[in-house]
Amino acid sequence: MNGSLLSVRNISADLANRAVLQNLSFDVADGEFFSLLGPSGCGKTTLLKIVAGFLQPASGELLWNGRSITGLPPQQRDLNLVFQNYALFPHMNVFDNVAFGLRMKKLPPAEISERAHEALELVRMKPFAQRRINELSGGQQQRVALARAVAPRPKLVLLDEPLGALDLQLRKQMQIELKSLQRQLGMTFIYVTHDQEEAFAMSDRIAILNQGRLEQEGSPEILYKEPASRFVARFIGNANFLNAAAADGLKANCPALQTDVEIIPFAKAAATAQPNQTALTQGVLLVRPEQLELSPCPPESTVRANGEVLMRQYLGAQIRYFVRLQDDSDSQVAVDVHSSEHSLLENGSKVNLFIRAQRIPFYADVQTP
Amino acid sequence: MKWTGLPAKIWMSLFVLFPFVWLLFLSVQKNSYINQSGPYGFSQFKRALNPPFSGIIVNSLVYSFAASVCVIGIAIPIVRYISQLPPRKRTLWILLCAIPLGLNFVVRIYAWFVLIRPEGLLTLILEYLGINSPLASTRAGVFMSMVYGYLPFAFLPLYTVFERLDPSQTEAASDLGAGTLQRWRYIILPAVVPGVVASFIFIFVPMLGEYLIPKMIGGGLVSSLGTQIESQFLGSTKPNWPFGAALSLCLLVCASAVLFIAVKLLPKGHSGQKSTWSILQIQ
Repeated sequence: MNGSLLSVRNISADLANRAVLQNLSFDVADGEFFSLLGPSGCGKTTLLKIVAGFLQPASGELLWNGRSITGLPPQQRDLNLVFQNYALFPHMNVFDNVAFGLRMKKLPPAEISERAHEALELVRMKPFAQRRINELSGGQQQRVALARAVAPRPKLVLLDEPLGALDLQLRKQMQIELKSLQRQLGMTFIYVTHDQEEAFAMSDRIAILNQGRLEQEGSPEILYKEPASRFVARFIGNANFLNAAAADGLKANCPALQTDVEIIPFAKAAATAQPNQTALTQGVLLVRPEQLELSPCPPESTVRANGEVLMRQYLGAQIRYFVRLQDDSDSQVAVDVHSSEHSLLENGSKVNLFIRAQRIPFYADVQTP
Repeated sequence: MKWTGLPAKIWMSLFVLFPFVWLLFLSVQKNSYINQSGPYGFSQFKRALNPPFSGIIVNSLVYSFAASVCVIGIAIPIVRYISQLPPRKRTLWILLCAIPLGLNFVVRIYAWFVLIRPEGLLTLILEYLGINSPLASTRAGVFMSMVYGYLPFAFLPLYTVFERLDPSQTEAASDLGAGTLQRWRYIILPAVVPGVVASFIFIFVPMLGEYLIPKMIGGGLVSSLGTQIESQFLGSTKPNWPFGAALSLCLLVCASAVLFIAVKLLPKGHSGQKSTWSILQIQ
């Protein structure tokens, strides 16, 4: 891919003889807000350290505008890192922290002062320039760390869960600020987080890591609507899995809801189904809670209800029902309905469930011969 | 009335205040022998602060300072290396560095003497390398022995500050473009200053009064403040207690002055940094 600022090519890494990253490849485009998302221990911080130059990969290559930077020490890479614990220098004041990178570049003093103040202005910390680091709150330290990273105007800024230590309110505010800052500066951001909402709130594209492997890479919309694996489906948003059987790559039958749906087949479904095989492919459908609709079933109705309300959560705009399916699987699904359109149902109510979505992702069971 | 401070007050009176006052009393005696008391005066101090004794005091100050700087200069890279090792290896290294502290100082200095005497291993190695200078009974030998003898004392105060260095600080510095030298200058050294000052105080003050090393290694040919004081009190030829007391007080003043300057030079502590005093208290 041309126009990519950073290309990660087949990167593998070991820590203490354990494979932490396995053959990872992706590209980050110039000016993009790119997130590395995954549960803790998936190797995302290791990958960030490799990109920053603190760790060397066991194999693979890092390309910067098509040129290899794999062996380059951190100080020679045109990127800056915002550390998880901020790593501000406690013996320097706010200004000196922000000016550090500029001083290392040996810029003239007037320019250092100008650019450091400019960076502090960006994060609205200019009045604090002469403060000591230990006089700042967590959110303020976060801003200083950000200003320190962007002051030398690197092409790429790496952020290692920078909002992790902040409370929810501040975190949401910082998400908006980070995104607008990134747009304003036109810099490329690689943001590491385990928080799916955070990644979705800011990113242009997201790479999902699991156990050192790349599960999927794409825009938030694609990841939510067409997750490539059950792991991604479960990791992003809420997921209901309904047992189903697919006859071909187009349609599947879901016995619990007594319905046929159009499917988006994933992975092994097509590959493993042999032409001479007449048996159905067993698997699961991914149905998001808001893709399900329920209607109360009157007691005298002759239609057999296919669900029973177990529990209800009133979430404000939405009501979430946990419904037990009345089939042999006895499994539970979550159903979100708009609170303005529905009256509350009591626990134990019999309900009928419908799928509202057009095409549903289908994951075939892995055959274990 | 607080009674809790009483044991400390008794201790200080008996073992600090009383000896100090007695030293003061001794030092203003005019004559060589305490039992021949005569008119009081400061003639002993006058003698101590004039040649040849003023030279000995200055010499001791300079040599102790230089040896302290050498000790710290040698200890810092070792401690930095140890502090970056994985925890299990680190414990082993700390143990190895601390073992000499468990040995009697005299025994250690004697062992060192075996190495540097004319037919000692170190002398032979130096001769083999073409350096034909004797170590025993010379200033160079005494200096080397001082560095050797006090090295273990510098490790622990330094280790407490190096161990607390946050690796992400140096990573952040290199990320922002700092090379190895710049990381040491702007990040590591400022963070370890309190430990450096603490270990300096730890070794400089006893070095100033050191008499065992000049006596054993110097063989009586190298004189220092410590050996002078010792010979004034215990010397077989012409002991002079009042003069010894005056020299001791000079030593006390010098040590206090250096202590005062060292602490004054310290930058103000900040959070996450141990002060020199807290390190001294731990030891």
